[in-house]
Amino acid sequence: MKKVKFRDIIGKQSTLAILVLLVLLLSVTTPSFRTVGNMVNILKQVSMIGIISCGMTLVVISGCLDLSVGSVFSLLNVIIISLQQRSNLLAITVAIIVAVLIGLFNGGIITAFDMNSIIVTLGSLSLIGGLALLYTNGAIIHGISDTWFSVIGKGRVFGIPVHVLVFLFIALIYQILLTGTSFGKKIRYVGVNPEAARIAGIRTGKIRTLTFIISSLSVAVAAIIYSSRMVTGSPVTGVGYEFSAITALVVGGISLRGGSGSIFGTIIGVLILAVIVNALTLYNVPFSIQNIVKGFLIIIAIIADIRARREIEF
Amino acid sequence: MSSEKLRSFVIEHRMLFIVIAVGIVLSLLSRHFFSVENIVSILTNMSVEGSMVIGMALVIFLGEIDLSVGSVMALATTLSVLLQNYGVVVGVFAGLSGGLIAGLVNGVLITKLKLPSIAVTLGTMILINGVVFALTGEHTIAGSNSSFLLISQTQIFGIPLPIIFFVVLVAVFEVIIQKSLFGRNVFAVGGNATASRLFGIKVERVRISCFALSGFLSGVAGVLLAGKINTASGNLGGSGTLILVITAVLLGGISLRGGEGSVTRAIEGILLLMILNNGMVLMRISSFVQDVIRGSLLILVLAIEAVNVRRKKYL
Repeated sequence: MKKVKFRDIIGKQSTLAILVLLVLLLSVTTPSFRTVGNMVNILKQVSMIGIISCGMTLVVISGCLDLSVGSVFSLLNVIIISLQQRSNLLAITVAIIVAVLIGLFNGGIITAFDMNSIIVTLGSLSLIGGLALLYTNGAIIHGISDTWFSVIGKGRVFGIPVHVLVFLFIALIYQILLTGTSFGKKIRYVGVNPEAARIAGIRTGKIRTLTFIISSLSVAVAAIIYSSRMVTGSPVTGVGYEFSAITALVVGGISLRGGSGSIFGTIIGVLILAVIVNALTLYNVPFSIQNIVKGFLIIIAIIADIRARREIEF
Repeated sequence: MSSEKLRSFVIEHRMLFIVIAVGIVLSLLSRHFFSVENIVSILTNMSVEGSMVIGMALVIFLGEIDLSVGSVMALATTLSVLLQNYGVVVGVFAGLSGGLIAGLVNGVLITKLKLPSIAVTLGTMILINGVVFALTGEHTIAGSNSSFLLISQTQIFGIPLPIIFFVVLVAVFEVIIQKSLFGRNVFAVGGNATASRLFGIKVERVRISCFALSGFLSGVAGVLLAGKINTASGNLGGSGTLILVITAVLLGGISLRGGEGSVTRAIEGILLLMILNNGMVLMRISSFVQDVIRGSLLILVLAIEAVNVRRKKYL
C-alpha cells in the first residue's frame, strides 16, 4: 500500500524528482555549480526560452505544434531594433501587432483547411525566416541603449532581474488560463479529441487559432526582452529556438499528442535542460555534444511518455 | 493510346506539363536556361535531393513522415568525407551504411515501441545534427582524397554518373512500388494498417523496411553530395532541405494520409522545384526571397491537398 503511494507520487512528479536529483548531484560533485552566481545565471538564461515554451505549451495541449517560433523571434527582434531608433513604444506596438498577425496566419490556415500543423509551420519557418533576412538584408543592426526600454532586459527589482519576473508572471497567467478558465478546459478537450469537441459545440478552429496567437505573442515578449538586453537585431538570432522549446516541453512531460500537460511541467523541463547545459558548459563539453544530449533526451522522454500512457490505458 | 487513357495520363502527370510550361517561360526570360550545361547541372543537383524524395515518398505512402532526412544526408556526407582517406569505396560504404543504420533506428523505434513517426524523427533529426557537429568539430572540413570527386565528374556518353545512377534508382523503385508484393503491401498498410494485419501482411516489417530505405536513400544523397562538394559541415541538410523534399512529394499530388501515389510523380515534383530554384538563381533573385517563396509554396501545396481531400470526402 505504502509502496504504491510512493510510486504514484514519483510517477506524477517524476520530472520534478529528476530536476531535484540533478541539482543535488551537481551541487555535491561540482563546486562551481552550487554558487549563488551560477544559480542566478541559470535563471537568467531560461527566462526567454521559458516564455516561448510556455506559449508553445498551449499550442501542444490543443494538439498542434508551432515550429515557426524561432523565425518569428528573429523577425520581431530586427523589427523592434529598427523601430526602436524612432520610438520604443512604436517598436513594442508594432512587434505585438505583427505577432498577432503571424499567429492568426498560422492558426487560421491550419484550422481552415484542417492541415498538419508541423508541416505548415515548417513552411512558415522558412517564409518568416526569409522575411527577417530580407528586412535587414542579412545584416546585423544596432539600437539605442540607455532609455526606459533597457529596464526590461537589464533592470532589477529587489535584486531579481525584471525579465525573470516577467517570465514567472507569464507562467502564472498561463497556468491560471489553463486550469481555471473554460478556455483552458476547451484547449484540453480539443487536444484530446477534436472531433468529439466539435460535436460537443466547441469551436475547435477558434480555440486552436487563439493558442497560435498566444504562442506568437509569447515570442514577442521574449523578443522584446532580448532586444532590450542585447540592443542588437540579427535576422538569425532565433534559429533553433523551436527545437529548444520542443525539447523543454517533451522533457517536462508534455505529450506531443496533445490533450495533457501543464505550465508547471514545461518550467521543470526548461530548468532540467538549463541545468544540464550549464553543467556541460562547466565541464567544457563542446556545443555539439550538447545537441546530441538534447536529441537523446527528446527520444527518451517520448518513450517514457508513451509508456506512462499505456499503463494508464490498461 | 485511347483518348481515355491519354486523359488519365495527363491528369496523373499534370506536374510534367507544368514543368514544361515553366521551362518554356524560363528559357524566354533567360538565355542561359536552355543550354546543355545548365540542364545537366539542374539534373546533377537533382540527383541529391531526388534520392531523398524517393525515400520520403515511400514513408508517406505508409501515411508516416520522416523529418530526419536532411540530418541523415549530412551524416552520410560527413562519414564519406572523414573516411575517404581509406579509399573511395570505404568512403561510399561508410556513407551508405550510416544512412541505413539511422533509418533502421527510426524504423525500430517507431514500430517496436509504437511511437508517432513525426515525434521520433524530430528527435533523431536533432540528435543526428548534433552527431554531425561533433564529427566535424563545428568546422567545415574538406575531404583528403581527391578521387572521391570522380563520383560526380565521371561521364558515360557525356552524361554525368550521378544522373545515370539517379535515373536507375527511380526506375528500380518505381518498379518495386508498382509491381512487387512489397509495393502492394506498402500501399495496403498506408491505406488501412489494421485491415492489412488481418490479411496477414507483416505490417511491422513493411514499416521498418520503408524507414530503413528512407535512411539508406538519404545516405545515397549524402554520398552523391560528398562526391560533388567533398566537404562536410554541421550546416548541411538544414530545414531548407527538409522543406524541399516534403514539398516535392506533395507537389506530386501524393496525400500525406498515405495509401496512394507513385515515385515518378514525386520526382516530377522535385524536378519542378529544382527548375524553379535554378530559374531564381539565373534571375538573380536574392536567397532570402527564395526562402520566402519556398515556404509559401509548401503552405500553398498543403492547402491544395487539403481542399482535394475535403472534396473527395464529400463526393
